[in-house]
Order: sequence, then structure tokens, then C-alpha cells
Amino acid sequence: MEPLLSVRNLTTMFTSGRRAARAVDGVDLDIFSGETLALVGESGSGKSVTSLSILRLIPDPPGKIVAGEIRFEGRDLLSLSEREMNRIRGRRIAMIFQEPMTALNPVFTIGEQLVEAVRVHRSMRRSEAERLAATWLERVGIGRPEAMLRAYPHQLSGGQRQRVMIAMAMINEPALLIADEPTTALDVTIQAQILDLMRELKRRTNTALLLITHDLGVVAEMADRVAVMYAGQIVEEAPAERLFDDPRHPYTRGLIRSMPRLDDDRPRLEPIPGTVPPAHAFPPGCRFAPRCPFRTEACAAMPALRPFGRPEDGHRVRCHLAETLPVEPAAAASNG
Amino acid sequence: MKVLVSRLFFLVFVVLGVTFVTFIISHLIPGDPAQMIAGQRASPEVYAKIRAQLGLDRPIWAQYLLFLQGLLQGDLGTSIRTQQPVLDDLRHYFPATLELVLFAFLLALFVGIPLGVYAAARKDTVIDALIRLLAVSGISIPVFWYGLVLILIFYGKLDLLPSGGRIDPSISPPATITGLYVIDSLLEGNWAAFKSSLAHLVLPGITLAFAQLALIVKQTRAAMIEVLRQDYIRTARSLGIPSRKIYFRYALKNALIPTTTVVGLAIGALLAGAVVTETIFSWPGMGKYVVEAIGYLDFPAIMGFTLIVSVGYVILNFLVDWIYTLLDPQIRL
Repeated sequence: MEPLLSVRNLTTMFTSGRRAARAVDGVDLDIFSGETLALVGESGSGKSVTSLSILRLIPDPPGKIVAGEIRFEGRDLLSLSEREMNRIRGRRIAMIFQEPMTALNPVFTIGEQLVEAVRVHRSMRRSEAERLAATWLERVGIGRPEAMLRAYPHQLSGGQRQRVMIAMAMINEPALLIADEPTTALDVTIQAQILDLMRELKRRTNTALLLITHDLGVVAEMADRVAVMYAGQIVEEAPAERLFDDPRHPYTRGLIRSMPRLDDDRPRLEPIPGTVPPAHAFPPGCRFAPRCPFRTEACAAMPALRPFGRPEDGHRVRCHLAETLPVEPAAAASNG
Repeated sequence: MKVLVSRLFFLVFVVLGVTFVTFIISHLIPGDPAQMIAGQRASPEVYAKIRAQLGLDRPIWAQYLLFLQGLLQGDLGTSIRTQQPVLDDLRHYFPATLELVLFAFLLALFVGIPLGVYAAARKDTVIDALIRLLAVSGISIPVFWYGLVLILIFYGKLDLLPSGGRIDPSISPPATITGLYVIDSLLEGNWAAFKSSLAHLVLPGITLAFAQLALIVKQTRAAMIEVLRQDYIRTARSLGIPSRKIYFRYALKNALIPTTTVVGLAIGALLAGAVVTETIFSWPGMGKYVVEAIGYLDFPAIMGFTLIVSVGYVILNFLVDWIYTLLDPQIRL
């Protein structure tokens, strides 16, 4: 089956002064219609830059996509004009951002913003677009949608605003929805509601979802497949269940081990020591090596992202030690 | 309604304050209008009579109370210089000033805001640098200098535009409807008068507008750059809304909130700046009137002018506050 979106060797650089850095360095991703791919990593790993690059929303300057190919519905998005790109943004690929408090324009009503989102792509009468907007507000669980159309963002709660954002992104029923940390800024109870809502809308419209998150709890709940990013590269990719059962990259293991869980008998969480290096100071060789408890001399050379196990498992790892890593008792026991 | 009452109350205080200060200052300036009218060789009797006529023989507080008393009855006194009621004089000169100030205002607004938007959209490019250079020149070069330079070039060298007056002396001005020649001549269908009066507006209009235009450009650019960084602009882009629409609709409406403050101040500055510009371009307006009045120590005329300008300023400020509420849904009067 042909993937809906196929990213190859995506490389995005940021320049500040004379210093240039590859925030995203040779990323490959495939997303199929209707599936949910989670892109996971700490802050600074390049996952947001990857998602913004797909829609070509990287602010230039300082950012620039310097290499790669982004094939979507048979076309390379990187070769399109800005005009052609605008016909894809919001229509075929839509995006939800992390900060619902600031993602809506404060001086326009919810109705004006939703109607604009529709009418920029479809020739529809204003009254008709308003009706559609109200329908979508209802669909995302906002009561009294007619009144809400006339409300301004500051009159809404954070959860309501994120629902409006989802309605705005989904109103043209795009083939792909990119959600960048859609629940991070919300209360826990609201988080669960928003995730439920996204799952339900996805089922209804068969939209593929690229879910960007650092929260493995969200991943476990939502994702079909997972790609783990570290320092601008994909370090491991696998179907969700497999990734949790048998993570093969030390970084993935670190992420899973630092995740709080209910059946926990460890005295405390185990964070990964150190932080993601800044993009201009990526170490040569394996980028995770300086933080890796298993590192050997081999790690001075950059490992390739290569299949692990049988090819049909769809499991790829960027680690010299993938085969020799001991089976993780904590990880193996946790996912039942 | 409550707001309106409180604003009117405020207006009364402003008028009292402004007239008081102007009154004190203009009477503290050395010089004696009675002496100027009477001439050097007038007899003491004639001089005393003129002083009494002008009310200058009374103590200063009594003169001020007299002025306020007149003001309550809508009487601004009689001009010492023209011997006409000040109110009539001002009514006569006001439309010319209004026409010039309005023209300069529209110029500053409708050139300044797009230039500011454009500079912000093309931040750190050559276009941005040129627009910023223009803005810095407008702020730092004195009005009389570029007023004269404009005359030198467009009247002196190129002979393209007239350098003084409101209309060509060979063309009779249009009948007074609004008092603004450009509009009246259009209403009349008098094409020659329209062309001439518009041509006469260009140089003084640009001269008066330049400094305020520069401020509006700077403010709009700064506000736009700030707004374009906001998350909701990224949202608009992610929805496929074209750049032009993002700049001039989504971003500008936000950026206009701080810009409105500058625009409000700009109108006040234009009214005040008209004094210099009208003098340079022999524009027969209130500014030229008051400059001549100052030369004569014509207290009633000076007071009348100050009063009109300050009342106008307060009303404009009220308008600005109201415009905020149109732009920003979080502001309520």
C-alpha cells in the first residue's frame, strides 16, 4: 500500500549568526491513511521542527529545509509554490498546536475564524459556512454552538479553545492531521476528553494522525506506530505494542523507564541523565552515546537506522548494540 | 451614557486648566497690546482709554473671570488685531486648517500603516531598511527645513506644484458647503477648482504629515513584528490563509491596537504642527491666524485658538478610546 505521506531524508537547518545547526537531520517517515503515528522525544529532539517542516511552516529566516522529499498524495510538497502549498494547508493537511491559549486570534470571534478556515478553501456562502462551523462545534463537544460562534477566544476555557482548534483543523476533513502536543497544556481530566475526541473524529473521517508528544502515556493510548526521535534523528521505529514490549534503543528504554506508572514498585522514577545536546553541538558518532549506559568504542561511529528482527515486523533501530542489548525485565513485564 | 457624562465632566476641567494656563502665560509675556494699538506718541489719556476698552486696567483674576463669563455665553471676546469677534475669525479660518489637517492625517494614516506593514513583512531586507530610513528622516528632520526643500524642488525647480495659498487666485473658490475647497468643488462639479485646490494641498499636506507618518510607520512596523511572532499567526498559516490576508487582516487588526494610541496623538500633533506649516505655505488657516495674533499680543485670539485646539484634542481622545473597543474585544469603556 502506498503511504499517504512519505518523508525522506528531511533535513532542516537553523542559522543564528555564523552558526548553523541541523535541527532535523535526515528523517524518514511514512504515514498510511487512517493510522496514528506517534513521534516521540524530549524537548529539543526535533519533533516539532519535523512537523512544521511537513507543512513548510518553518520561519525562514532563521530556519530552512535544506534537503529531502515530502511526498503527499503523489506530490513533493517541497517543490510546490507557496500558492499551491496554501491549497494543501488546512484542506488536506491540518495542524493543532500545543498552546490553545494563544493559538486563536484574540480579536476575531470563534465564528469568524472557523468560517474563514472553510471559505479560504471552499466556495461556500457565509451562512452555509456558519452552519457548518456550528455543526463542528457541536461535534467537538461544545454546547450552545450558535452562541459560541459569536464568542471571542478570551471568553473560553483552555479545554474549550483546544476543542475549537480541533474543529478548525478538522472542518475541511483533511487526509492528515498533525497534532503537536495537543494535550500538554491542559488539565489531566481535559486531556483524556480531548484524546477521546480526536480518536472519535479520526474514526469518523478516516484521517491519519501524526501525533507529536513527549508523553508515552498518550502514545500507549493512541498510537498504531511509534517513531522515537533523538537529536534530530529517528532512533527507533516500531508498531506501538512492539516498541513498549521490546524497546531496542537505549534511549527508548530510558524514556519508558522514566515514565510513571500505577503498577510501579520502583522507589522512584529513573530519569535519563543529562539533556539533549543543542543542535549545533551534536556529538560525532552516535548522538546518544554521551548519555548511554551501554556505550562502547563502536559508538564513536554514527549507527545507521536499520531493520531489527524480521522485516515485516516494521521495527527499525539506530544502535550498534540493538541485538546485544539485554531483555529489559521492567519493560517486558509492564505491557500485559 | 455614564461614560459620556464623565467625559463631559473631564472636558470642563481640561478647558478650565488649559485656559487658565494660557491666560497666565500670555499675560506674563512682556509687551502691552494697548501700547501697540495706541502707538509710540499717543497721549496718556488715549492710552488709558484703550487700556480700559481692552479691559487691561483690571486685575488679572478679574480679566480671567470676565473671559470665563464670556465663554459661558459662547463669546470669546473681540480680537485686538482684526477688531472682529474671535469666534467669527476662527470660524472663518477653521475650514482651511481642517482641510489641511484632514488631508495630512489621511496621508499619514493610509501611507504610514501600509508602509509599516510592508516593512514588518519584509523585515531585515532592503525594502525594510529604506522604509526605516524614511521614518527616521521624518522624525529627525525639522518641519520648516523639508517644507522649504519641497517648495524649492517642486515649485522652484520643477514648477509642478503651487507653493502657497489654497487655490489659484484666478479661480474663484467654490461656494461654502463644508468649507473644505476640495470637497465643495467636487459637490459643485467645479473641476478646475477641485484640481487647483488639491494641487495646493499637496506640498503643505506632505510637509505637515511627514513627521506623523514616520511615527505611524515606526509604530505599525514594531507592532506588526510583535504580532507576526504570535502563535495565532502560525495557526492562520497552517490553515492555508494567504500571506497578504494574514498581514492586512489577521495581524494588522491586532497591531492597530498599539498603533491607535500613536494615531490619536498624531492628530493632536497635526493640529499643533499646522501653525508652522501654514506659515511656511501662507495657508490661510487658524495657524497662520494665531501666529499673526501672537505678533500683536492679541490675547483673545490666542485664547480662542488654544481653546479650540484643546477641546478638539479631548474629543479626539474620546474617539480613540472608542476605536480601541472596536479593535479589541477585551476592552470595554
